[in-house]
Amino acid sequence: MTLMTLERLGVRLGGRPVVEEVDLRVGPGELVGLIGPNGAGKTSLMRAALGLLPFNGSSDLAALSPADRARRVAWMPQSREIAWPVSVETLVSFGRLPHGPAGLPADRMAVEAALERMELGPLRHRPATDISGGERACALFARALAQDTPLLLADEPAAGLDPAHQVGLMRLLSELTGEGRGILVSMHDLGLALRHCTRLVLLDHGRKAADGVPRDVLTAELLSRVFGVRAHLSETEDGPIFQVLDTLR
Amino acid sequence: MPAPALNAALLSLTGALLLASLLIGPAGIAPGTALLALVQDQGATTLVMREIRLPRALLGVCVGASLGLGGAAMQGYLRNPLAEPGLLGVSSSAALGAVLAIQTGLAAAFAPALPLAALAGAALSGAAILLLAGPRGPSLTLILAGIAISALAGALTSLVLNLSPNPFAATEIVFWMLGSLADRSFSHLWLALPFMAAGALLLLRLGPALDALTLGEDAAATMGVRLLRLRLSVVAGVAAMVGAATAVAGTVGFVGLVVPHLLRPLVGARPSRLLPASALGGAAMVLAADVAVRLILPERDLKLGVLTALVGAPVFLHLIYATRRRLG
Repeated sequence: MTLMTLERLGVRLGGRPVVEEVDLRVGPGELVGLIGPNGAGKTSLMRAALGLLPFNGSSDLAALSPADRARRVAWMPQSREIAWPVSVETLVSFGRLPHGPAGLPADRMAVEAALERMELGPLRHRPATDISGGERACALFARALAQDTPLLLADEPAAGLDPAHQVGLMRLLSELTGEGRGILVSMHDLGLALRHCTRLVLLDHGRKAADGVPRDVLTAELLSRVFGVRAHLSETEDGPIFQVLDTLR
Repeated sequence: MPAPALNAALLSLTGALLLASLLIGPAGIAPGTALLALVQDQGATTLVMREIRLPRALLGVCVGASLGLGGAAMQGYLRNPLAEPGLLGVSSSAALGAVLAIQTGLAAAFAPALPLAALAGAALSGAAILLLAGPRGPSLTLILAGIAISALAGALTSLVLNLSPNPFAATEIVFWMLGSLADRSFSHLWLALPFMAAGALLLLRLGPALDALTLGEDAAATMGVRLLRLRLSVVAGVAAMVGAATAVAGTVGFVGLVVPHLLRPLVGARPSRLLPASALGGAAMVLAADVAVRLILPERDLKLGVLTALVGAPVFLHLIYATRRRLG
């Protein structure tokens, strides 16, 4: 069983190909890290998969009706946009909109669970526009959690978080996949990706350069060819450790 | 404030102002006599109450609700507290239609020609905006299209005034454009009501979609919102409501801008809750202004649109100042 199937997916923006011929499946229990240098097409790939961009090839998510798709997959875009000063609690409750009229006990439980998981209790009555950037990211992530979908797509959710929250977020993602959800998350911190993801997909100039368990993707050869960096990777008692050492270009 | 309490408070305020609007007027009828004449035939008094004050008060409710709801929908859709229903160019296009009807003499020959021409202007501008902005473009293109249409309609109105050979028609045009509810009849109400009701049905259902849009278009689209359908509903709903309001009352500014702004803190900034609250708040504001024009300068026919702008602009300036202080 898969939660998302992309076949030969391609995206052109302004006449220029930004994603080409990508095949990708995400199944339950998988935490797939989408990595690649800036401009490799990570965001375009995810937006096209959701049907937010015109594309060629096929995406089973884009083929769903908007209402069905909203119950299959939650999307956390990179922009931390919140237009109105609604309370954090209200913001998180917007995640329940795809589930019909609000106010059912199931809705309240999902919102409470999401607030608790992201440790937003103390902020729940604060306007979501008045909290810090990192707290805002947590609130927006809680909104996606409250949508309570089997699949979650997130575009750099860890950007702008402090170290404790970065690790906490990755641990939460692992927990969610442990519950049988599938997650596709784009990220730049390869160390976090190595330690927490079950699988990494490496994009290079819109094409899939590698797809496999993290140790097989973060090879010296691929790191130098795609990212242009040299890195140190070792196994320790505390798990694998990855550190970029220098650029090669 | 909880939703039922706020809406009940706004509803009672609107009810009280509706009563005030029925009881205050140049005829100087005692309140008891006035209300009795409304339900029981009392000759001339009944004529004043049923044919002059009642349609005027009911039109105040409808026009105000249209402007308030249209403003809340526009602000929610564009995610901008400075948006107002006139931004789509609907009011200026409706005004152009009305001005043409006055200038050509159609309005003098056939009374309903004026509001009908205004409605046609509003419908044309709505269609033109949808064509100009396209189905997939961002909301910015919608704003730009609205500004262009507004400017064009304004220029054509000026041209009509400029070339008007008849000073009486020119004066009539200017006075009509100032916005007023005086001397309106039930025929105005029946003409505008179907459009306002259809627009209200469209707009009041957009609450969940506008809530989702708080998180941006991408997030909303993945929460089940059909963005194209939302855009069509907003433009059609605002064009119908505000076009009909302009057709019967002329241009009444600032209500659609100030009312949602004033009520936003009371609904926890939720766009869905702001829709019904702004409809009620708009009705209350227009009724209050229409009572005020009768009290302030009863013999000079102070225009409603002039008063709403006179009161609305300083209120708005204060809001901007308060926002700046909060953000600074």
